Amino acid sequence: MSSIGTGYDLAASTFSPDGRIFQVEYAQKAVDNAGTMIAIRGKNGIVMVADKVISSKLYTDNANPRMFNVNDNVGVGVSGNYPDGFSLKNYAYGEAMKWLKDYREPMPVQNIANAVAEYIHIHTLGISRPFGAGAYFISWNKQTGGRLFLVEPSGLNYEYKAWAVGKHRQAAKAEIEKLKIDELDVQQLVKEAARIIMAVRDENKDKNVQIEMGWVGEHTDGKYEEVPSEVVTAAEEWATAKLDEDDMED
Amino acid sequence: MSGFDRHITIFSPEGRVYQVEYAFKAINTTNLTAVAVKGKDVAVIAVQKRVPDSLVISDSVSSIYQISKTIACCVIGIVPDAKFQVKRARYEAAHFKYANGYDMPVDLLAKKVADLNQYYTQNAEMRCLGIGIIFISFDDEKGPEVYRIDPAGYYRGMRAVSIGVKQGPATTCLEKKIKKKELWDTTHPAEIAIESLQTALGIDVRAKDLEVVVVSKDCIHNLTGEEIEHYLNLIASRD
Repeated sequence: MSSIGTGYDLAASTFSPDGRIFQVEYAQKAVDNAGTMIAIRGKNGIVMVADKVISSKLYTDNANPRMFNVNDNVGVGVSGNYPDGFSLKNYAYGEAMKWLKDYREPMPVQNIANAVAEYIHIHTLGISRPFGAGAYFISWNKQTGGRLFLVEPSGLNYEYKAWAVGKHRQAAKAEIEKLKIDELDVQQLVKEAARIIMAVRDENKDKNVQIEMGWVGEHTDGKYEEVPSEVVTAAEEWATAKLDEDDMED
Repeated sequence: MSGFDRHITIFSPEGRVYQVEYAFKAINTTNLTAVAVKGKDVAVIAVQKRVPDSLVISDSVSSIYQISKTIACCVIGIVPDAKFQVKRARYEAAHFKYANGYDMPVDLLAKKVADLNQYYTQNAEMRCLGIGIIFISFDDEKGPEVYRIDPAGYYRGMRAVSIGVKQGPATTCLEKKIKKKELWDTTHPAEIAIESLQTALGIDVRAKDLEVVVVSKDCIHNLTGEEIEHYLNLIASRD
């Protein structure tokens, strides 16, 4: 079973002889080769972190955010190709607005994730190229607790306790599994998440990187927000200290 | 390659439609198998459940879907294609009920979904869906029914059927069992389905590795872990 498509990879409307759709697999590579993004559900909230490459010093702070509000209660973090992700965020926003107009209440996170998954899936049928982007959807409320969903470029959509996508996802997942995430509250999660992102970075290749974080939980009363920059900076400092400490122990 | 016969849904010179054949292969990419059996009063589907990672919440992973009050189904293959087709099937069943005033019979739904699959095999703009579907239902005129639909648009009512990567061994097992008429008529279809699945997989399955749905008159029920254990124990005690 070769992993290059040669000839069967020109359109999403073509199956390969082993029943694979290479265009969708290539779209997944766009996410796999982009910056690492992790999301972790803790005791009373969820934290999403992205490792962004700042391509120019001339950009203003947080010029190209990866995380947005879909509605007051649901946050989305897009991974992979940035314009494709931005388009997904706009679609999610539109669906949430329609739901609010029809039902007079905010669209729940599972419905948002399913709607976006369907939209992504339609683009895997061959009518146009697939999206080279995936999205995390997170929300928290008192009744259901935290819920975290990931939609992938194939249209696959599962609920997770925690997950990592992007360049260093294997290493990040291994680090996440070492933690007892059900016992961590959001303030500790922010620190641990920053530590994981910094730990899995490749010093030689990942230059000009910056951490972007978003959270939702009991402490924000169920509203999704960007994590304040002081909290991010404090988390990074804690993380750097912890990593240095660990290096000294080795 | 000289022509596009392998790339879009057109005929090859020998009269084959390669893209449809490749769509059948896509059903096996998730490495799951399902077995469905109909009995005198109930119809059952038993399917493997595999959660891709320990960080995934297992309730969000399922191959079994409820289409309407009277019809349940199992779809194996490319998961987003499955959800797409399930959504369409749910729409068709709901629309039928709205337009005609009674629940859509499963044979009509199977035909409708099969015709949709066939449409994709004859048009170049969209590819076939890489999924195999089994519908089960308790029809108020015909009793329990099992229908199988494939990516080519072929559908048939079956007494028992298997789809997925181990469908060959499972079908052989079912064919052997159905020859022993007395045993077939007196054993609960859930037991037959679970046992055939276990034999085909060649490993001892545990209750958490299975999903089983049972349809009887006016009731669609997903078996709980204990109920599946009960059948697994019955099968083990007979060996």
